[in-house]
Parts: sequence; structure tokens; C-alpha cells
Amino acid sequence: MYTIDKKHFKKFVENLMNSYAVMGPVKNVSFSSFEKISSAQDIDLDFCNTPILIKDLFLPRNEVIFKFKEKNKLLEFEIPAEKEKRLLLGVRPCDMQALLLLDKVYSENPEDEYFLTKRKNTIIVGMACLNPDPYCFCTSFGIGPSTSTGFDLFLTDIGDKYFVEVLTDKGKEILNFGLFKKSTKDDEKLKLEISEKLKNKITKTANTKDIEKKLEKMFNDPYWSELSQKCVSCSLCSFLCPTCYCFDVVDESSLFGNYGERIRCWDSCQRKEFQRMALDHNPRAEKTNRVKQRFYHKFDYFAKKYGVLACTGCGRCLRHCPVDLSIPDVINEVQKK
Amino acid sequence: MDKQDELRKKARGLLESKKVEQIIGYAKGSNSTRTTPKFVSDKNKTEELVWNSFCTNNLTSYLKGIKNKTAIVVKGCDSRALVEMLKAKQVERENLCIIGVCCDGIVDSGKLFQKIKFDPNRDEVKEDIENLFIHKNKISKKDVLLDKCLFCEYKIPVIFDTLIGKETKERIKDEFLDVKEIEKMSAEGKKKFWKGQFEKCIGCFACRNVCPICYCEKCVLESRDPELVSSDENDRWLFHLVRAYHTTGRCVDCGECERVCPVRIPLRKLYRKLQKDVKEVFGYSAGVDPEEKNVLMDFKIDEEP
Repeated sequence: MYTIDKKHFKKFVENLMNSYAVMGPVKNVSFSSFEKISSAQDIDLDFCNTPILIKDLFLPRNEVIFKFKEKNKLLEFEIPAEKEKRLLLGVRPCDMQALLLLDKVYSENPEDEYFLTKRKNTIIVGMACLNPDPYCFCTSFGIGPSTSTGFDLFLTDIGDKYFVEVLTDKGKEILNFGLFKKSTKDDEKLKLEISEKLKNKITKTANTKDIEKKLEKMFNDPYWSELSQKCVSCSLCSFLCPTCYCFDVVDESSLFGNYGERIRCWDSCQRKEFQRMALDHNPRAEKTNRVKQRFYHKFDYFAKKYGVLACTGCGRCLRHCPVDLSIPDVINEVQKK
Repeated sequence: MDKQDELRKKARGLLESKKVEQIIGYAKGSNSTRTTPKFVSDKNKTEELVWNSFCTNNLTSYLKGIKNKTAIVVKGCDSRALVEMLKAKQVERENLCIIGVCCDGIVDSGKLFQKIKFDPNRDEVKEDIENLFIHKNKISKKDVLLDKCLFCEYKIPVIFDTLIGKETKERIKDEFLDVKEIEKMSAEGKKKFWKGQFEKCIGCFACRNVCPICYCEKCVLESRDPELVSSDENDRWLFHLVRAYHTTGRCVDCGECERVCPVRIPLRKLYRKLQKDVKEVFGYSAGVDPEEKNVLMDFKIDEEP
């Protein structure tokens, strides 16, 4: 393991910028988001988590699948090429864990080339979360503010330097850029202490133990209709969720349909139209069924299919929910049933 | 008796006498700076209702299409939205029992967190009329109020069947200072400002879904066939501007859209510009008089063009 002096960090970022399109947390007027930086100074690592997801960089909100154009009565297609080598800097553990869940979904047969290409071309450097906020509940999912799983490189602020964990070969490549020192025993001890301290900063908790078994038994429980009364079906929770992966495919074409694009855009099971089928049949026309779907997909179906819960406790849905419909509180209620 | 006790007693009475089948109010939220909308139909559960400085939600949006006899808790701003809903026949007056609460302003938890560091999952927030108390710290409410509460002319609901509390604060005339600030900008400056704001929009539609005035069953802005608003970033302008024009003369500045926006687009500034214009041109404010016709749906024979 290694360390890098904070005063060398800027230089490190500059070195990276020569080889990669570096994207990092940039502070806008009202919040931070991951954007392509043009100078090392743009990066501001002091943030909790961003309302604009890094998921957007792998599964864009609106992604062109192909463009089409009519030429001599034939249609010509063009598939946008994606070759840019990117490096994400300062990603939070909850978001990384979520990306690992998306990997599972999009690597299934047939593989999703659009997602996987972007994933392959991106190096991800994580950073331990120093200031989790009251809505974070990642520790309920066996992770914490300093979980390094899935990253290529992981940094932890240990005072005047960052402790650097190298986790993959891609991560090792970056080390070639110099400025790193072998870590000492003291550094390692300090890192462990800080990780432990950070874990204790998370005070919102959900008891997720065997939650899928619990849910299995209460599909028809009146609890769901009571809970869903307050939901306004705004679908904000799924738009802010790093693990939601449903999309819709639409053609956006010119007035006469002779040129246009086929795009896929995020969709949400919380919207009434989401499940509408031919002849207007809609199995989830009722709000209760939609709210229930959100919980069952994340904590039952996904768990059974992939062996892991589809939530990482980033807390975005809770932080921003207009009606305070809280995932951790619902899980705890379900456990009481 | 404080407002919360009064509210619980009233709610219990309404359910006991079977005057209503359910009460829509607020309950304790996921932490001490939050409340959550609560539907109570069991008279023994009225103790779960709360009233405090964190009762932010405008509950009237739950009334869209409601069929059973319902009592609803409203603040001044919420009551104005209710007036507009009644005018548009979105809810039957006879189905409603309106519990108006005199409001001293609602606290913005974001501002509170900036003022004092505490853990709302563990620490309690207590309050009296003027202050909040966290640990041993005293925080003046007026320093942490929601922006919309800084200039509030409707501390007493404009419509109610039963009133809880007394008006304790003076009304503060709304001079539209925030709007005037934008009006001072050049056309280019305004364009730049709003472009920056609308670029952030993630198209989640939360602003529309919490809006009590947005009651169309099918929203044109969501239409895919014909596709009126495309996924193109530039079309976000269209979404917000169409919504602004469509709610003109009906929007009552309850501020829910701005509150729920995850990317903090200052939507109130946009809607309030139109409110200001309507006030200046027609001398009309939405949601004040249930008998008054909506200004943009009315005309006078001898009106000057």
C-alpha cells in the first residue's frame, strides 16, 4: 500500500489529465456533480453525495443507441462510437457498490455493449467519505464510508496525506505517474482507526437481515396500501437511485420521419405508464402496487436473483423524498411484522 | 393547550362523531427535522398527528379526486392552493373539513444544519413560539425559516372550518424582491441564468407531481405520441416554461416544487415572476377568494384590449 502527500495531489491529477479524460466532483452553485475537469483546481472533494449520479456516465439519462437517416429510399444507420479513456476521481463507496450491481445486470446475456464499453474504458479512483450526512445508511448493507471493493484505487484522507490502496492492475498503472511512497506501519494503523471512526458517523440504520424472507410472506399485507397513501408517485426516488436500471426506448425523429435517433432513457416503475401494456392493461395501475414494487425489486427479487440487496444506503431517495418515505424505516417496520 | 394538542383533540372529535372518515395531517418523520404526511382513520391513532415547525408538505395535493369525507390540515399557503382546487372542482367542498392552522413559518432544515451541527437521528429538536432548542443551544426560528415564509401575507388560512391557534406574528408584505433582482438583469443575463438552471434538470417530474395545481390526468409534457417535449436538453426549457404558463393565475407560491427539486432549480423565482405580472396587470392574487373567478378565465365586456 502507498501514500501520497496532499501537496502533491494537484500534480497527480495534472499527470492523470495528460492520459485520461479526468472526471471529478465539481462544485456548482448549489451542489457537486461529476464533470470533466479542465484543471486540477476544479476538483472539490468536500461533498457528501451528488444528486447527479455517476450512473449517468455509464447509463446516461438519455443515450443515443443509433442514428438513422433516409437516403435514396433506404435507411442508413450510425452507431455512436465510444472510445474515450476516462478516469473518475473521488467516487464514494456507496456509488461504487451500486455500479457493481449494475455490472451484474448488464453483463447478463445478451451483454449490454453500451454499458460495458464505457465501464471497460473507465478507471475509478475512490475516496473514503469523510462527512456522511444524517440520511446515509450504507452500514446497513455490510459496507461503510471506507469500503474499497470494486475500485481500481482507493484513497483515504489521513491528515496531511492520502492513504492509497491499489486494488486492480488498472489501478497499478496509475501508480506509474509517480509521487507515491510506500506506506508505513503507522500510516496503516491510522487508516484503520479513521475507517472505524467513519463507520460510527453513520447513525441511520436498517435491519436488513433476511429481509427477503420477511417480504416473501407479506406480499398481501395491508401495510403496503397504508404506506403508499403518502407517496405522490413523483418517481424522484428512482431517478436518484444509483441501483435503478430500468430504461425505455423511444425514437425521436424529424417531422417527416426521414432522420432521427433511437434513444434509451431512464424510466421509473413509480410512474403509472411504466407497466401499461397493449389494450391498456396495467398490472400496476394502483399506487400501492408501484410502491410495493420498489421494495420488492430491491429487497426480494434482486436478492434472490443475484444474491445481494439492490440498495447501497446512499440515502438519496430519503434525503430528497418529498413525503419522507424512508427506505430504512420501512425495512425496520417490515422486520417487526 | 398548544396547537398540537388542540389538533389531536379536534381530529379525535371529528373521527368519533363520524363527521369525517379520515384525517390528512402530519406525523413524526424519519428524523427530528422531518415530518411525514399521515392518513388517520382510526380515532385511537390521532395521537400520532404532530404539529411543529417542520410540517412542510402542502397536503392539499392528496385531495385530487378524493371521494370520502376527509379532514385536512392546512397552513395559510396550503389553504390558497385548496381554494384554487375548489374553484377548479378538483375536490368537493362538502366532502371536506378544513382544519386551518395558524402558522408561524416553517423551518428549512438545510438552513438549520448550516447553523448548527447535530445528528437529527439522535438529537431531539424542541421548540417554543420563537426558538428551536437543540442540546442546550437556542436557535431563533426567524434565522432558519424557509424562503417562502420570510414574506408571508397569509399566516391565517384563507379558508377553514375550524381554526387552530391564533395569529401571533405580523403579516409581512411580499414585495417580490427576489423577482425584482432577476428583472434587473439584462436579457442575455437572464438567458444565461436560466440556461444554467434548466441544464441541471434531470426530468424527474417531481415538481409537477407534488403540485396541487397540476391536476391534468394526462400531462402534455410527458406525451410521447406526439412527442411534444423530446429528451433534448434544450427542451427542458420547454417543460419548465410551459408549466409556468399553465399555472399562471393559479399558482399560489406554496413552494413545494422548489422544495422537492433534487437539483435545486429556483422554480419559485420563475413562477413568482408570473404571479407578480398577474398582480400588476390584473390586481389579482390566486387562491384568496373562493368566489372570485380565475383571472385568465374571465373577461369584462367593456375591457380595454
